[in-house]
Amino acid sequence: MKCEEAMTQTAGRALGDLEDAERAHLEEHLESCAACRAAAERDARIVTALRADDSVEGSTGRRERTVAAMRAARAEKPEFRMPRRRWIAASVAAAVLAALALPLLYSRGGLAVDRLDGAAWIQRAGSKEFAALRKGDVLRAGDWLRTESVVGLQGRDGFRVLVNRNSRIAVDGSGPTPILQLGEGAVYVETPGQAVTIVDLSDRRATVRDGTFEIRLPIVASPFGDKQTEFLVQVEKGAALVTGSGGAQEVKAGSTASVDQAGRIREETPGLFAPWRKQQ
Amino acid sequence: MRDEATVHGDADLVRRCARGDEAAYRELVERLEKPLVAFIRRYVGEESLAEDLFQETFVRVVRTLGTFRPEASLSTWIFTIARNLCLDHLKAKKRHREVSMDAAASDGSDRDVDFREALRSPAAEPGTTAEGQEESARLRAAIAELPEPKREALVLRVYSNLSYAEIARITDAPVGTVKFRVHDAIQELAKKMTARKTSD
Repeated sequence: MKCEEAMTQTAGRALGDLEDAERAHLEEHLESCAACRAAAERDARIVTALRADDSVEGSTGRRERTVAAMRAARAEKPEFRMPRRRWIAASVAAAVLAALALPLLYSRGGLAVDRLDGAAWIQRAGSKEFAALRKGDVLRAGDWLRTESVVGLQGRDGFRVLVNRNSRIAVDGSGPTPILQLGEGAVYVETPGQAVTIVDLSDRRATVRDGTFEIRLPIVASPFGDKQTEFLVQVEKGAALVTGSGGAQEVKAGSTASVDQAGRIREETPGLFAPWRKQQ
Repeated sequence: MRDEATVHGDADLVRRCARGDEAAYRELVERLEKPLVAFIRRYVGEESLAEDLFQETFVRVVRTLGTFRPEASLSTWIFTIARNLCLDHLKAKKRHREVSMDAAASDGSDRDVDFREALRSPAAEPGTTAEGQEESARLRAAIAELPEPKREALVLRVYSNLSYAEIARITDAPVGTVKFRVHDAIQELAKKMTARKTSD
């Protein structure tokens, strides 16, 4: 075997793609050729590093959000056509049903927009487009919200969420506990009764009940210059159960807990956050 | 060649999804979650966007279930949908420079402004060492620099663990070409990583 041919097979060797005969032929050449052996070792190191870097974690939040979007997509019937008279009757019936169903919506995690300081956009479950958010809009399971300004959301039983500017959240009401997925930014949660879970894209989560909490994803600089996020939970009143990769920890009023990228939880000094919640 | 049980299993899952069976939705999403997220994440290079595209892939699956042919592989079909979504996104990004919706934070906090950028940075994985994270970051940067056909073939082979035949169907390229692209990508990465180490 010549070096030119051997060099075309070193990556295949590293991936385990070669037939037995091909491999034996190559190994024979590598024993006597230092340059090709070095190339083969270099390719093997890359394949090992690539496989070691293959570490996507499963996420309940991701799966539930996706199933909610699939459910919503199936509910849409774009090709459905109805005669005009029946369409009017159906529209009236739908409006009556919607009015009756509104309280039920809240009980399933629907959140009404009651404060809008400036621009924000909503992406409905199953849609690719972002539409401008308006006061009175209701966020339902699977909807995403992007904010440029502070947005207030009202749920049932005094449950209230303020979303900071430059934030992104999704609503998931499919489980027994309302879930807010925090993609970026910060939320301030008031929940006098029911439990609410806030989870980020890395599945770091805080479950809070009966109190007021601020949860945000600030940036921390790593020693290598790349940016990473922490998951910070500041408890004003009540207590929060904060979950990282190593288990859960209760955080009491007046304390702040952070969960780093590795899922480690630690307590921090309170009072870190800017007073963004005040009405502009 | 796919065995009969797999073909029947896929067809049954598709039928249940077509009926709106949520357990079937969950089964499908769970089955493909890790390889598909790995593929999209490495392909588009933005974690938060990858999450959106993952969700959008399954929305497309629901909307186009009627076009699925039982003799085809369900996972290959879904990977093809995901790949097309990624390509659409990358093409749109090339045509129009995205206008950021992020406004500067009025309280002057630097930390607020960079949230989106931070989410786009490669995430560190639990349990990795500092050195390992540095090496991973270098490797991901090198993958992002690969030409698109090589990058997608490599990611589908290594991270999504698909066979060359499956990748060939997804990318609509001959099996030999796919194999060549993957091998070439490995060698290009090896050269890039060696060059980076030398320059450090």
